[in-house]
Amino acid sequence: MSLALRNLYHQKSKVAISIAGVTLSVFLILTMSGLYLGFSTMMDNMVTHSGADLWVTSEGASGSLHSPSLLPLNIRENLSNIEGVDTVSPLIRQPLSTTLKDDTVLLYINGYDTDTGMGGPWSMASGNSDLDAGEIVIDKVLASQYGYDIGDNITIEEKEFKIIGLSDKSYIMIAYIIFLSFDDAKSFLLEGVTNYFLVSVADGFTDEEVSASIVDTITDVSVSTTSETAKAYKDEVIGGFIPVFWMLSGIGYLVGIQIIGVLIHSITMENSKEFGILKAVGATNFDLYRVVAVQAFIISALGFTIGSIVVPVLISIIQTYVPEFVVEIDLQMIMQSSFLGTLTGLLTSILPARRIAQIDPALVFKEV
Amino acid sequence: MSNQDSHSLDLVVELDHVSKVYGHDASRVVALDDTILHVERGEMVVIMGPSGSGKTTLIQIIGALLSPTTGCVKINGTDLGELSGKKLSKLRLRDIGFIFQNPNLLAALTARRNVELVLNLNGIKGDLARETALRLLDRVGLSGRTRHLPAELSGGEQQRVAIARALANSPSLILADEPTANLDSKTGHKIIEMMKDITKTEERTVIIATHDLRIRDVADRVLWLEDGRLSSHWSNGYAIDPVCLMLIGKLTKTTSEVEEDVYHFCSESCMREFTKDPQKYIERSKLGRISH
Ligand SMILES: Nc1ncnc2c1ncn2[C@@H]1O[C@H](COP(=O)(O)OP(=O)(O)OP(=O)(O)O)[C@@H](O)[C@H]1O
Ligand SMILES: [Mg+2]
Repeated sequence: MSLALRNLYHQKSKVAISIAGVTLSVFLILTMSGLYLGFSTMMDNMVTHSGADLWVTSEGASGSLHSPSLLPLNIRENLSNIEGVDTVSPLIRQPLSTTLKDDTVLLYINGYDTDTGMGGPWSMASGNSDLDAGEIVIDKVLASQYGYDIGDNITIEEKEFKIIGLSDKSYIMIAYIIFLSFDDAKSFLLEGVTNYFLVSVADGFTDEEVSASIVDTITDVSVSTTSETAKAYKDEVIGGFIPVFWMLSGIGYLVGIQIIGVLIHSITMENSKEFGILKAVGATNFDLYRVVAVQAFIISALGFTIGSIVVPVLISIIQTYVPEFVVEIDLQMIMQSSFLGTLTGLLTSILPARRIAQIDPALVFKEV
Repeated sequence: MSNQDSHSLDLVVELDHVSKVYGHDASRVVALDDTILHVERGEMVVIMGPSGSGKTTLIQIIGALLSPTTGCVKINGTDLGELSGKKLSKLRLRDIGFIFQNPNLLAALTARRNVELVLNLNGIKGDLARETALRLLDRVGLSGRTRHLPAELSGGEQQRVAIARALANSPSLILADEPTANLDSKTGHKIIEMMKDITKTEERTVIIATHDLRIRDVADRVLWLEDGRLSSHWSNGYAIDPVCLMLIGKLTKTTSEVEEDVYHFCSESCMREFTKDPQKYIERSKLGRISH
């Protein structure tokens, strides 16, 4: 133990460089898992913060973001009359490819009923979300990229809106969400229709009961629960990217382990004469493996711990300058990555095992 | 296998008909040739012989670091040929203390920790290991240097740390290969005195391979190794360098003739030293002359 530590101390600069390398790998790991978590919670918020229990769509168009669901507005009354239905609120979520300041951008129009507030902004960066006609809340990344601020006017498809707030967590990789009152949003859709009706269930009723009643009473509609809708959103927006997140995060681990492996190997090589001395005076191969394993453990624990402290700070600094960097990390993720990293780092001590076994203690006599 | 005789004699080392051959065919070298060596407990044996005579090979075989091509090696009655690699390691750790030509200390560890390490390997930990290490360093006169790293110690001090390390697990046998070769003559002398003292006061068996003739004086027994064979006499093919008193082959090119006597030197520098004041060294070499 003390030998392992002292050998590392003897090679401080090498160890420091390796730890810096491991920190970079932690950056890659946490960024990738953090991007995944960031988008995943954003999709979640989009649905769960709506205050709705049930999402009603046109039949077959289950509650997904890109669904072509269209419902006549006049079924609102019928929905309200169903037993167990508390509130009913229309929601428009409609992609719109448009031109902003000579640039083509993809927007998501989020038009919601400002009376119920259901489906409105789930997280505000600044300003307020108390929308009147002609007012708008836009995503903060959109604002920073195109130079908009609260109080400015924004022209979308020749209609002018006044920006009263900037929303947070409303940037979904390729599209920005903008929030309008339902009536303003209608002009971007056909007259007399909505994409969704959001339904909250009255006390004493279950989601299943009310969902069944809705399907029985109103023809040509589908109903999904909030959690089903959230899952559908996630699958749709980030589902295709999951293998990419996994792969890059896996590469992060490989990079970290590679660095630790190279260090362990080089320290073992450099110490091979000392290991020869130890063998000559009676240390077994196992005694020496243990020294190497302790070294691998110390380096990986140190590297991944330092990385876990430095990287979150680094990420939050980056985020203040680069709002597109929608990375969200939590303690569990950090613990997991340092645990997994330390464990796999420990495995690198297997690499020089063969080399250690081959060291011939008799060579100690030949050195002059 | 062990007979009555060897038990009554309390033999620590028994080499019976041991040969060691390195390489094959053209590169074949017979380093030890049918060697027999029995060493009793408490004995200090010095093995002398010129370079390449097989001293190191012999020490390695006795020290369980090299297995002989043929023959049987026993340490404290245990046949080394019957032990696994792990058991041989344990035997080296507990029963044998090594002193090499180089101190071979671990650079990252202080003097004390270098000694403690072999105690730790033997399962002795904590305060006991620490106190034992300090006591041994005190024994070799290094109580003021326990926190120094090897790089901060002189060659002689490092070699003393190595002696303390060799003694750490109270081995019954101490093996030294040219322990004074890297030291100046005064420091070398101190080391020799120290080893003699330890042998006598602690009743340890010591085998020293060397071509330093001064060690001969403190030995119970001096053996000559020549062409892989041990004997208590040495042949006429060797001479003593009158300057450094090393045993050398007479075939060396560095020779000097004074009053019809031919003197042989281990190196150019010894020869230069000699020619400055031949008489002084001739006197000395006569004192150290080996009778045969
Ligand atoms: N590993 C080896 N492979 C081949 N030959 C070897 C090996 N080790 C030693 N030898 C040869 O065996 C002979 C004895 O070598 P050894 O090292 O035992 O001599 P020595 O008496 O210790 O010499 P010196 O006084 O120079 O240290 C030499 O001829 C040497 O070249
Ligand atoms: Mg030798």
